[in-house]
Amino acid sequence: MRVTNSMIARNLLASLNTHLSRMEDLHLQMSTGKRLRLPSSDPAATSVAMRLHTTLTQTRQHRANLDQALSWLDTTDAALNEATGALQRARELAVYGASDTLPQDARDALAREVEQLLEHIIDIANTRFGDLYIFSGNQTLTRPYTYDPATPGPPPAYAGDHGLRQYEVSDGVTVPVNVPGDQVFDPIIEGLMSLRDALEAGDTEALGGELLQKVDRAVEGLLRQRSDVGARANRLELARSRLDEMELNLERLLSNTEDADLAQVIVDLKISENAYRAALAAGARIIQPSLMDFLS
Amino acid sequence: MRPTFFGLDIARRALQSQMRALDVVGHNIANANTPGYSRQVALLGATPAITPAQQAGQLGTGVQVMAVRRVHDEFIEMQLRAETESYGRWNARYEALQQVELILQEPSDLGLRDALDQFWQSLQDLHQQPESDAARAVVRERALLVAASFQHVHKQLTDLQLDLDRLVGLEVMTINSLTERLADVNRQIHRVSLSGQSPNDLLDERDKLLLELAEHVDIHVMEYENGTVHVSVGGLTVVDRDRSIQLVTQRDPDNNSLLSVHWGPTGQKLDIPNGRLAGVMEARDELVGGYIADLDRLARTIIQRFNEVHQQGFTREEPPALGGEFFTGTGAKDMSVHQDIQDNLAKIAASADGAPGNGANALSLAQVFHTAYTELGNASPADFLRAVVSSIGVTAQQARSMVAGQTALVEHLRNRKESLSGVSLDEEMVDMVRFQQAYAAAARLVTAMDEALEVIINRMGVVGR
Repeated sequence: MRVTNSMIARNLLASLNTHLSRMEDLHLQMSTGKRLRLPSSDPAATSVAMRLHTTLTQTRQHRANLDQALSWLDTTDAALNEATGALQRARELAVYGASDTLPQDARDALAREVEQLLEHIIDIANTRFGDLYIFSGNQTLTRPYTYDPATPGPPPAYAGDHGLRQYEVSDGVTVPVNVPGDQVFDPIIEGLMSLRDALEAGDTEALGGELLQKVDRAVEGLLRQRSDVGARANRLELARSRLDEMELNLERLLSNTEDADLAQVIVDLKISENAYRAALAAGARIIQPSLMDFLS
Repeated sequence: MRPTFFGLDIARRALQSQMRALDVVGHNIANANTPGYSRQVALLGATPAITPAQQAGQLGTGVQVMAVRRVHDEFIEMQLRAETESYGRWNARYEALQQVELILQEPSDLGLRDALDQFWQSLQDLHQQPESDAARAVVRERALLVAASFQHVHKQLTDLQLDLDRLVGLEVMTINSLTERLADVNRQIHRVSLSGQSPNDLLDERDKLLLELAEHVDIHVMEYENGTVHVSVGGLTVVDRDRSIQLVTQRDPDNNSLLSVHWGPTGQKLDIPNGRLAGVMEARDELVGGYIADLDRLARTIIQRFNEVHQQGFTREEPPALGGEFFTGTGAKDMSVHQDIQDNLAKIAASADGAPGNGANALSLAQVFHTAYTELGNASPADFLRAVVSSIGVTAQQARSMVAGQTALVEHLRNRKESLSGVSLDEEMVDMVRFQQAYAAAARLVTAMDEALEVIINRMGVVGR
């Protein structure tokens, strides 16, 4: 092949340009730390990276939902625990009061203590998490029980609803984080009020029999709710460690997909730099001499 | 009989011919760096011999320059034009796609994907705490961000489309100016050819113009015997001899009033499959136009589907009412958040039954982004966006490798052309020395003949003087 001077010059320029653009690309990878700059750098990896970003957002959000759900369940459990204590005390008082030998003014004192317990239970039923009443179903802004000890009358009515507060903890899976109050507190309040009335009335027969059973059933009901809440919390704890692991995996995958391998980039950059230097050196030698230099 | 001054004639012709050849060398050296220049060679040939009567042997009469030939291969030129057309088309597509990629800002935390993810996140937070005004405010802000992102990307893509449309007009102007210059060169070639000479430098100029034209548009070239060319685009003549025919642009009402290209005399629409002009038009209509349509489809689906779900939920007003429209607009261009929502956070319908603590509808709203819809080809909005971005990536990647391939091919053909037609200074130096020496020898021949003739003219017949 016949080689001309402008061919040499053009080919030299073309190869210098190739080396330079390769170096430019590597330099950008190094300075940004990203392997994927544009979709066309690697369309398949771009799609994967976008999906991983979205999945990571979802996982983090589900993790946040889950933490919030656990806080609700913990608050509920603590309230129910306290209610159990109060009920057990009420049961002891019922057993005391059932004794025929007890004078009536002692029973009146017991009745006053039951009244205190009742008010305590109402307070528990009106527990708030932040600004929200946790035992109101979805009527979280409404106080579930309003009780005025000064005005005797029928047990206070439940002002909430039966709505379950559902939190999404993974794609399409929701967990109720609350317990509607009436299921738990209606029998307790009703029981405590009849206990108080029976104590005041000195109805020892009811105190020893029917009322004691009522209180026992209320305690049982509470324990059932507590174990249900505990089971939900357990399930969420398990899901939490799974989400943590998933988040870690996703972060690693994402980094593998879109981050530059710095060691590799540095080595490649060094190689490109050498090739560029070699091309420059070769160019300097080849474009200079011509026959002219040797004709006298 | 040999004429007396015959030898001087041979020497004269030799001097003239070698000098002419030296001039050609000089012309080559002078044009060593001229783009499109083909080296020329002085073809030397012996002048017709004479056959003297009653003598043995023909008598050579010397040398003359038969022709000055342009070293050149029409076949390489044809291939070069064809590959340059493809190069022009793919390069135009690639340039447009590079801009589309920059507009989309994917993969990064600045694009549409991130805006949608953030909006989804705010809805999830709302489903957790539907009572909270803070959570509602975040939903509103993120929704405004989604709408703004759609509008922004749409505007940038539309601007790009209009830029490409202006480029169509510029391309047509360039093509018209090139065909005018070609017609002019044709006229000059014709004039020179009448005198029976080969218009070498004009032919170089002609080929250069044709190659330049080929980068812009798909041309068909036919060469007449005298070296002038006939050029047609899509079967319609644009250059014939010394006449050029203009292409014109018109606004096409069937294509968003974008420009289409027509043949001047009849207004017939041109079908241009290759070259830069074709690439620009493809990028404008199929690529950028297609992406705008995809974006609109996504925005429309989100507006409709999101509103449907929103209208099934209940607001947090007193008393709770069914939700109204959340997004307004018909596509990416005019997507916005309804003024009611912007004015009153309670109008966000997060509840499924009206209870303030119910966030079930907010969850359903979040699910819109990950639910497959038939109008998106059974993909969810998130999947659809991802598919659009990766298809842009694939198209850009293909365009880039086509540009790289065509560049290599064109470069290879240029090298072949250069190898044949380019000026090699070494070669010219050798020729220069060769012709210079031949010239010196011919001059010496004059001296020899002169001395020989001097014997006859000045020294003969002087015996006994």
